[in-house]
Amino acid sequence: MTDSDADAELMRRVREGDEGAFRDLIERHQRVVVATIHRAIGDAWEAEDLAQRVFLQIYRSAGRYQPTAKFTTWMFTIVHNTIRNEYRRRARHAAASLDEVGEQLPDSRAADPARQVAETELQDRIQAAIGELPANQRTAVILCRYEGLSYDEIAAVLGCTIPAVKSLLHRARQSLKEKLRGLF
Amino acid sequence: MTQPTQRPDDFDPDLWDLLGRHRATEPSVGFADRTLRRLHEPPPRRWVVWRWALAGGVAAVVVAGVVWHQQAEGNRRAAFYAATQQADYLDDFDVIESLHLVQGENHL
Repeated sequence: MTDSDADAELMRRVREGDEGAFRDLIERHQRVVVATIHRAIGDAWEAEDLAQRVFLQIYRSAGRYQPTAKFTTWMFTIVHNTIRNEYRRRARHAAASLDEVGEQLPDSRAADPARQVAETELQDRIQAAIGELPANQRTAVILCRYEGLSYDEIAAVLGCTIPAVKSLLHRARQSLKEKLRGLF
Repeated sequence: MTQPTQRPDDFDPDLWDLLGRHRATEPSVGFADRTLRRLHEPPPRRWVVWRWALAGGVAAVVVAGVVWHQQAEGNRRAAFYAATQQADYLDDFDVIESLHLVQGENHL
């Protein structure tokens, strides 16, 4: 049984209210969902909260899932919409900047505190650069670079064409190269 | 989904490698349990829900009032019509009685 078949079978059982199947579905995909959201918003705690909302949405919308579509495509569509809604919510409430990341003090007991500082700065700059991208570019980059989705899968998630995905990635790459200049 | 990602041909190798150094957080222990618990929690009360419920209630009262008024108006008109019809009927009776009296008959 392929991964897609396993997901489809689990969703069939979730539609019938099987919470055991729902737990299995969470455990199969929690890592990528949390990681994708974290890369988009930069806050680990918020990422878990939003990831829970994604899975709850999956459970409540199980009746609308069509097995003809790949489950992960449907799941990432919900992830993308959840992230986009979170950005809008923050913009409305003028919350803390989404570019902000927690500062991590160097551990003086570490073998090389200077290296740790440099590594932290690298992580922060990459996170900030990704977070500053427009919603569709950000999702396209994350799904392409970190989750290995193909262009047509990304197009299905974003509800656009493959040429549009290529255009999004092209513009995203240009922005990222500009923002991360000096780190290459 | 943990398979290594393959760089598309049009993706700059240096940027690809740099982005690959970014580490994302892992879900904390018990994530699935907490999610399932949240599934059974009552939804948070939000003012927007109560606002829509209040608006719906007001709309229902207004509609009921309009319907009641229209029915009352209709009943009033029906009663008036019936009253006028009866008056005409009684007028007809008076005419018929008069005719009978003229003709020396009393059929009522």
